[in-house]
Amino acid sequence: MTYQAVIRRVPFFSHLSSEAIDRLALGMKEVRVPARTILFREGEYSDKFYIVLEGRIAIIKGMDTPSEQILRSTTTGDFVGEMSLLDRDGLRSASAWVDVETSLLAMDRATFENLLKEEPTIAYDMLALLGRRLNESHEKAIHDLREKGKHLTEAYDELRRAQDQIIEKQVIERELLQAHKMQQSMLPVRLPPLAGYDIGATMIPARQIGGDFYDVIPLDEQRVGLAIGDVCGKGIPAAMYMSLVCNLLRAEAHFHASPAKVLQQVNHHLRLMYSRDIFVTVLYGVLHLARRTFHYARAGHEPPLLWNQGLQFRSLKMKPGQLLGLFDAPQFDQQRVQLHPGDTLLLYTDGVTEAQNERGQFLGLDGLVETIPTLAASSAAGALSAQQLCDQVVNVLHTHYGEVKKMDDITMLTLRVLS
Amino acid sequence: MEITVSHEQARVPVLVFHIRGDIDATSYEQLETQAQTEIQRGARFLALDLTDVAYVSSYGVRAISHIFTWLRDLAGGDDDASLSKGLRDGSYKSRHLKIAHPSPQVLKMLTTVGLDMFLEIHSDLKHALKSF
Repeated sequence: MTYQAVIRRVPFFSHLSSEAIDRLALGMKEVRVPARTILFREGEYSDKFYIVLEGRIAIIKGMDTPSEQILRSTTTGDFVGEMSLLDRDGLRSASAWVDVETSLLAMDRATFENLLKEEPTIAYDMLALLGRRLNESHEKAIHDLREKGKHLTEAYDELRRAQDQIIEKQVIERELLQAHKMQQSMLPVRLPPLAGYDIGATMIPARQIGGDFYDVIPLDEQRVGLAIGDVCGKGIPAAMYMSLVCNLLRAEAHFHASPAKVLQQVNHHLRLMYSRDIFVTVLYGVLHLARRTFHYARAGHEPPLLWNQGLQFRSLKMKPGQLLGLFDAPQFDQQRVQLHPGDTLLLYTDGVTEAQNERGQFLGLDGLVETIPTLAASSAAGALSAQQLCDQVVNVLHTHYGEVKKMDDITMLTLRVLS
Repeated sequence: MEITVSHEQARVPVLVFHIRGDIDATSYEQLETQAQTEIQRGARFLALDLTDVAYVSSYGVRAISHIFTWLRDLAGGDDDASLSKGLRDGSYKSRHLKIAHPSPQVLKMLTTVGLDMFLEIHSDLKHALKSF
């Protein structure tokens, strides 16, 4: 493309006569600019106007600053630096970055002013062009400001939501902590001393609050109620239900000698107070201290485990027994166990036997049955206290779990008949 | 846990849940939700095929008990007094929910919590369907 053809593509030179274009071409110099070069910087003095013959230039406002903005990109026939021809101070209003090797036609202000004298209408065309450019620049700036405003609003909303979530989480955590404290307060603070027996217990919720419970209820000088239970549910509703069952058991245990009658009454109240959406398995029994008998009723709960003095496991009889909360008149498994000196009785919830390790293996009933004598034998002549036995089983469970998240509460109540 | 549903024609139309995996704290809600959906769509006779279930926790017991309760409430027929009497003398079993082919370990769990006192537990699906 000839210089003349390129010059004619510039809007304010397009109407010039061929002679004027020729004169202009003679007054302009070709300049070659290497790639990745700054042609001119914003704020610098300059009186040069350029037409792109070949190559590419980016016009950048606020170059190398955080608010850097590419105003436009010019190619063959486009022009840059026209503002400096009109502004007598000649300061650049933007920077020009030469992206690839570029050829330019350069014109200084003296050549331009001479041209203006001959072709004054150029000034009108240039003003019209500059007006359009200013408008476009304003619109772009306004659009950018709006976009920035929108992003700021979105970021603010997101921050507000995150803050609300943090506050809500803190409230829930506080409430859960309160619920945990309340639930722990439902369990016996200290197990009562039982003449001729050693007793221990533990309850470790899988979450901050759980649905398991145990209780030791002194009834009179010779009789003590022992209870363990597991609410079939989780979270705060299960914990509330557990608290209710604990209170009902404590109240009813004093009115009825028969464990089955106590559970029937508890079930009766649960049925009146709650829908059938939540159930509980309970084992409640009465230990007669002098007679060494444990008479219990089982409402869908795991039966107790018994080892004799020689740490031999003794299997107990079992009949069907239904959980509480489901039927008006559930049937219970009622058993009477004669205890002997040296016997160890364990009441537990399924979180103990159903602890799964990384390979999905359960500790299982067999595992638990084997664990107790192993633990007792590992101590000095079976000298583990009932509480130590519970704690040791918990250690075994933690080892079994490994890195697996605990899914269920772990609860145990251990009774040892002293020799 | 995965549940595949099939429609079987016994003396009544029976919906069978073929369950694969454990029914525990992580999966019981899926069983409850799917059963609730099918009951809302009109299912009244349900068989739970536990052939591929290795483990049912207390949460699974809760789910099965819920399904029993929903079906009983919708179907009606048994008043509380006759149900109590039936449970006492062992003559009551749900006509709407049956269990098929549990493993020995699962069967032990179901009997420990007394589900067998009101649900028929069959050694295979064929017998469970025949019992409807």
